[in-house]
Amino acid sequence: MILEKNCKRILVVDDEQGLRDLLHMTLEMEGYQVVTACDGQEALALMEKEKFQLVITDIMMPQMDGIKLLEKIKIKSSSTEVIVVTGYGHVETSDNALKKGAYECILKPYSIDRVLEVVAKALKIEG
Amino acid sequence: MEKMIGTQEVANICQVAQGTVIRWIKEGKLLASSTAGGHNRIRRVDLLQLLKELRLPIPPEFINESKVRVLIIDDEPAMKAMIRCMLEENFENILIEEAAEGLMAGWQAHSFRPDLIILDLMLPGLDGFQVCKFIRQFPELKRTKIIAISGLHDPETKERILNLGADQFLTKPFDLSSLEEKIRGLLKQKGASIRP
Repeated sequence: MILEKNCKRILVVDDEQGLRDLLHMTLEMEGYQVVTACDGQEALALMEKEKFQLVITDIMMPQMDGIKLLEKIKIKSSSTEVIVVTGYGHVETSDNALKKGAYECILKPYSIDRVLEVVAKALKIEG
Repeated sequence: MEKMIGTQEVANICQVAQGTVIRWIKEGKLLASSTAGGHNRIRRVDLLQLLKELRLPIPPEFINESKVRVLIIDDEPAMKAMIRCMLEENFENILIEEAAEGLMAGWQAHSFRPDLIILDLMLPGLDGFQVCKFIRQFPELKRTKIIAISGLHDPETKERILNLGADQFLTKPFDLSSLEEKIRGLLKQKGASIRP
C-alpha cells in the first residue's frame, strides 16, 4: 500500500500556513508525495510543471478562490481529482463545488481521519 | 456528529437581526461553515466565544460548551494522569482531552479548540516547539493559553518556547501546586469559572 501511495502526487493549496503545513506533514507520513501552494496562482504554476493525481484546496483564498481554481484544474487536467475544503464565512457553496467536478467537499474544522479516508478513496487506494 | 446551528437561531440567542449575524460571519467575527445548500452553520463553541466577547448572557443549554477546555499533550501516561487528576480535583467546569504525539496533537488542538494547552516539549513525531508554532498559526487558537513543560533546564529552551508563543514555562520535575497556580492565573485572564 505504501508503494501505491508513493506513486501518488498530491497538491495542497491553502493560504492558512498552519493547516497547509500540518496537512503536508500528515500526508507525507502516510506515504504520499506532497507539494504545497499558498494560493491558486502558485498552484496553477506548479501544475504547469508537474502532474498531480489529486489537489486538496481551500475555498476561501485571496485573489483566486478554490472554486475558480477547481474550474481551471478541470479544464487543464480533467483526470486530476479535486477535494475542496470549505472554510469559515465563505459564500461559495459545497454543492457548487460538486457540480463543477469536485470529488468531495469537506467542512472545516475537519478531522484528519476523514481527510485521509477521502484522499484514499479519491486516489482509489485499497485500505 | 457535532450539532451546529443556523444564523436565525444565533440571531434569536443574541437578540439581533439575522443580517447582523451574516455580517459577523463575513467580517470573520463569528466562525461558520457552509452546508451543501449554501446555508451558514455555526458551531456552538464558536457562538459561545462570541457571546463571551460581546458580554452577552450565556443560555443554560450552552453549559457544556461553556466548560473550560484543556488539552494535555504529553507522551508519558503517568504525567498525563497526574495532571488530569490535579485539574479535576482543583477546577470545576472543565473538559479535558489528551494527546501523546506531536502531529496528532496539532490536529486535536485544531478541532478541540482548547482554552488551555499543557504542552510537553519532548514528544514523538513533532516536538513541542513545532506543535507550539502550529498552534500559534491557527487564527482560531490565538487566544489559547499554552503552558510548556520540559525536563530541559537551560534558559535557551525557555526563551525559545516563549518566543514561539507559549505563555508560561515550567521545568520538570515540578510541584503540581506550581502548575495549578500558573493555570489559575491564565484561566483567570480568560474569565473561566474556577473552584475557590
